[in-house]
Amino acid sequence: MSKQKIHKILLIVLFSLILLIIPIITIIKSVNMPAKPFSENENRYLQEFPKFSFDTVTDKSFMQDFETYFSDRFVLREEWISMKNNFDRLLGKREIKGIFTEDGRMIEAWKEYDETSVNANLAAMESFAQKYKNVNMYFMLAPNAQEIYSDTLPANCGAANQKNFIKMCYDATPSIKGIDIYNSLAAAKEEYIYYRTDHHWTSLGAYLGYQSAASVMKYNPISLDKFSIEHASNSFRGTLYSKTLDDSITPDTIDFYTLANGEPELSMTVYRGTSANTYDSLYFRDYLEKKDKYSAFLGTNVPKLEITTTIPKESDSGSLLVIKDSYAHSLIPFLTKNYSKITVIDLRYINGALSDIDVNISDYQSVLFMYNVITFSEDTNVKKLNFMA
Amino acid sequence: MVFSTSVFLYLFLPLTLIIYYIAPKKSKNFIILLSGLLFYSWGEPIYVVVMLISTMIDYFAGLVMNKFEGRKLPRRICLIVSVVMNLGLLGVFKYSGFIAENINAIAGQQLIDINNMNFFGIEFLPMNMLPIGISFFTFQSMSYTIDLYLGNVKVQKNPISFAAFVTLFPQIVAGPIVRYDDVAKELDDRTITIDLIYDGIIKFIIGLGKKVLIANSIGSLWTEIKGLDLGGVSVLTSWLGILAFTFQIYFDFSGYSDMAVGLGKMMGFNFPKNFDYPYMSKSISEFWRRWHITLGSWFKSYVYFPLGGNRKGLPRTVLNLAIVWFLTGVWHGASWNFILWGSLYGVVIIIEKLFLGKVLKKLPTAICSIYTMLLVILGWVLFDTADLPTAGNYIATMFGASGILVDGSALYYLSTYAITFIICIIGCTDLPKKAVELVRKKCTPLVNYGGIAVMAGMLVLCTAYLVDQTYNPFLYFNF
Repeated sequence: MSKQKIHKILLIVLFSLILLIIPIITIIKSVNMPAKPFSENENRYLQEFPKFSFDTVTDKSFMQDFETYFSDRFVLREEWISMKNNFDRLLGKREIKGIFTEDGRMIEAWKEYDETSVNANLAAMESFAQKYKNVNMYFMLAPNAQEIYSDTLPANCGAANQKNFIKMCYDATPSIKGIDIYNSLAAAKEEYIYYRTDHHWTSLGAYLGYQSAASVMKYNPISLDKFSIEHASNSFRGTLYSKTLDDSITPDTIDFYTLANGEPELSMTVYRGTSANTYDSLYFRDYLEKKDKYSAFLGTNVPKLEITTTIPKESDSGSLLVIKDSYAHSLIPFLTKNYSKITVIDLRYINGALSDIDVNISDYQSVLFMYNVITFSEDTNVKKLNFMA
Repeated sequence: MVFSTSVFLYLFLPLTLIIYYIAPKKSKNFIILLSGLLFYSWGEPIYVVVMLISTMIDYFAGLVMNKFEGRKLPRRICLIVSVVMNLGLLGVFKYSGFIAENINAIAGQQLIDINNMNFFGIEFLPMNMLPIGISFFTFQSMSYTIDLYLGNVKVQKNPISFAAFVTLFPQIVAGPIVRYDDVAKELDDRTITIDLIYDGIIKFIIGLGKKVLIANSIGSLWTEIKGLDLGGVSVLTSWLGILAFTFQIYFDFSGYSDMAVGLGKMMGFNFPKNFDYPYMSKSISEFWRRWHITLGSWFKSYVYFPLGGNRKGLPRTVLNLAIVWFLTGVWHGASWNFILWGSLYGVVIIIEKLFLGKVLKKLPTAICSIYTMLLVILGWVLFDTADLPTAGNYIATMFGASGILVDGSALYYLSTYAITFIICIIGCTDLPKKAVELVRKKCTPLVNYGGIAVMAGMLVLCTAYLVDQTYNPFLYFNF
């Protein structure tokens, strides 16, 4: 063999090896997978092998599903994706899959929203509030990390102003008392108030929400020093991590705030479909061992939760209905210190009338709408209140 | 199927190549035919029939033409059947909707119901169907019958070899337009050498990188800017947008051609070159000698020269050029944007032929480059906007219609895409090639072995981008 050819043969061998080893390992990997593989990171079941028939071939669904099937099982899938994200960053892109990673934290970018849909939701809330004039109505719209840490984002990256959005929402619902929590969160921006790798606020962030709401909702907030903080997990990698797969950001800590001199006795009933299960704690520690650690707070989203807490009469503000998204899950543990009866409903999981799930607004002294800006601006369910109640 | 998917690169390609290399020489064309059919049906499970019909008619037209050797009339009939049939397929599948729309517009009423057309009783929606690559394979296949008629090529009696020519998967969906003449010899007898495979792999990986790493990256900027409301778009943003498309289309298209040429080499074929640093051109005429070369030479050989080219006096030359450039526009797509785009190129080329070309030769090269690129860039606006009014508005924005010269978002785009732009600018010149040659002269092993590392690295990086295409976290299901 001539000397000039050695490097050519070397390249051909290398190319062949790459082209052979990757599919072979991928095929071996897929053969050994469980019947219905679930990706915790992507929070979805992987594509199953598509059905091969005349119809699926002619409408090309077989081909499309097969491509997803192959790619879902691709060897070292997440490592490839992480490599791609790193290379994009190297090219100077700062926003990867809608997420900025700045100053040691991931920030979900919020740039625009559907005005018509938001206005429909706000109008539904306003008419709901007018219908139940005897019930105290509150609205807590939590800004996301984007707003609090907007100074760390690149200039002119298109991030929209959440402060204005919150004001617009409060102004559009004059019958509901808006709770300003922006200022206290902004003042505490050096503290650990948002997760670095997840789109939620931390327990401390939620505590600030609880504290700010006190003067509006008229309860005596328990001061921070009365709580003992349990670091329940320090290996939490949340939803933003799932997208960027950026290992360079320190994993998050899940903190449980419990009263230092003993938690009040409580019972929580979780309604899901026709089942109802009662627990004596707000925390589901099983989730701390899983990917979705935020669900340790009150579990995953369900249509309805009922929490009754034994608290001294003098500090009891009565009954509260919380209409919410998942931000409320870390807030509610604090609210149980002031409301002996809390019902939590998630409109995304309810389709009939509220009376169908035994919720009558007039039974409550107060109603709290608790959302974060991004979820609220994308929500299409709040307007269902028009026919639900 | 397209090259830039993980199924192609890590399933179809290795399997096809293994079978192709193992197969005895005589059955290699059959493997090409089978793999081509699978490749094409993966994207067009129904219209693969269209391709087969076109192939069969041209094959038989060739046989009959051969039988009547020396007799003009029957040969001419065969040619006409083949050309009419190929153009007919193009007409029905590519242009019927557009023609119907315009007839309706001229008539001022719904003479033809576009949503309910039928072709020999088969109902179809002309707007929704365009078999992938139809403009390429009909032109390729026609080149055989035309050249056979003109006596430039010999008849292909083996149906499998002829079908292999049409279904040769590397060039089936996006060119280059390989003429029968280009591969006639290799179709019947080719040797696959280490040198050829080596060159093929390098060409393929470079093409893949151009498409996946560069074109897709810069393309996302154009997608974003194109989606903006033009009223608030600054001059700088609009220029960045169309520059992004200028690079996207070059790296995408030439990347595809490179991949095709590379794959062809791996299988023992030498396809013609399709791009030759078009953005380094000093005139529009030169640009079109360097851009999509196989299309230009197709029109030259089969339209311009048969019409008489430039041998019948100036007025006739101008007319011939006008016809060719009108057709070039039409070939790119059924819309007024493409027709205007092609025709304007025709106008510029005629002007250059008349006098501008001589003027340009005396000007500094920098001015010639600016002149050429300015026209090319403005041309891309026509090429990639929805309709003529949108194109007009976009060009107006580029020249200050919004009243904003530079704004914050333009600076943000510029800062996040600066590196990509620099890579694009260097990548579309011959600088990288010259640099490699320079190093090769000084230290050949460095190029030889360093090249292996660069190629492997690029393949790995492209794989990462291919896998990511379907990475789809469904995060908010549970939140």
